[in-house]
Amino acid sequence: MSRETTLWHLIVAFAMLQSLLALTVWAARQPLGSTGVWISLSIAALKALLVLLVFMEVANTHRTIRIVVGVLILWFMIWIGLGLVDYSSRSWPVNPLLSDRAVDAERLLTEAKPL
Amino acid sequence: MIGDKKRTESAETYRRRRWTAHLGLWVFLGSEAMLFGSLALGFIGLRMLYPEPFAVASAHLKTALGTLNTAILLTSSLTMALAVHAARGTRRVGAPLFLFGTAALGVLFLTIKGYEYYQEYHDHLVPWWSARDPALSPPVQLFFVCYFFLTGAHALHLLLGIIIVLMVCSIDTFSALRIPTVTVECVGLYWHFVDIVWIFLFPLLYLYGGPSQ
Repeated sequence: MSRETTLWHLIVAFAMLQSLLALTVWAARQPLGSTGVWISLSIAALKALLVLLVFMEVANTHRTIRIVVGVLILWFMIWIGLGLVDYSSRSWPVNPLLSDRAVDAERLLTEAKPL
Repeated sequence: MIGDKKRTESAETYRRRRWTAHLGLWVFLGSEAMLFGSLALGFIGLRMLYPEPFAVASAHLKTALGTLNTAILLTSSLTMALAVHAARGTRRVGAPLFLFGTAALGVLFLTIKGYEYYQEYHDHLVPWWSARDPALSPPVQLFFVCYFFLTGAHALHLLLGIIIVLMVCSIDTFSALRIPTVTVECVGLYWHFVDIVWIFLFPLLYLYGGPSQ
């Protein structure tokens, strides 16, 4: 370990985590539309990064472990990213990423049913 | 000279042991991330398919209790980090105390979660147990299937964490054995991982039904 995590680091990280939690709840109460979810998830990612770096001491651990953790996160992001691209590109009846077109498509499908 | 050599060897052995334990645990945590990632990805896919029913269903959840539970879990992460910090120091008396505090906060989290489950059972929101409310559409019921599966898997992991923390704490306190610092560190890594999972589950499940939708 190159540097020890001090008590001061832990307390500052904890205060930041609680503040970010308050920010998450506040953001969820704002009329931000569908971006509100992505803002909440971005804040969650920031909180997770804080826990990883300070509480789990990834910032101060052995270099090899830092590489392993970095690669794990990279593969995880690629996997989640590809999954989301797959979901959003499917021609499902309702797709929030293509909301207007999807609503039109759903209406057309509904209207077409009696035929 | 021989004593110095032995001490150096011992420090090197400890360093390697610690490195191996950490590496093994990180690989395990990677596999756990894949498990929770799959569940969350499935939930997001269904949410994309049924955005409005999922927002309606999410509005049924008790956001205040979810927020309180998140704050409790973040506090438990601090006490766990303090336990690791104390275990590394020369005076280890604080470590079992912080470990016990961590386990107590974990139990508090599960108690509140259990109360939430009871409320949801009472409100007929458990799709396969309670009498189904005809007002709940199938996509809303699907949300609750995902909700109980995700939070249930998390609660089981937390329960396992509490058992391990209490075992480490009791061995360190009541027996002549001293738990190695590396064990406390590894338990800490697992605990923080369970905390990270909840950090993502909270906005994903609880904050979909707010005014931002």
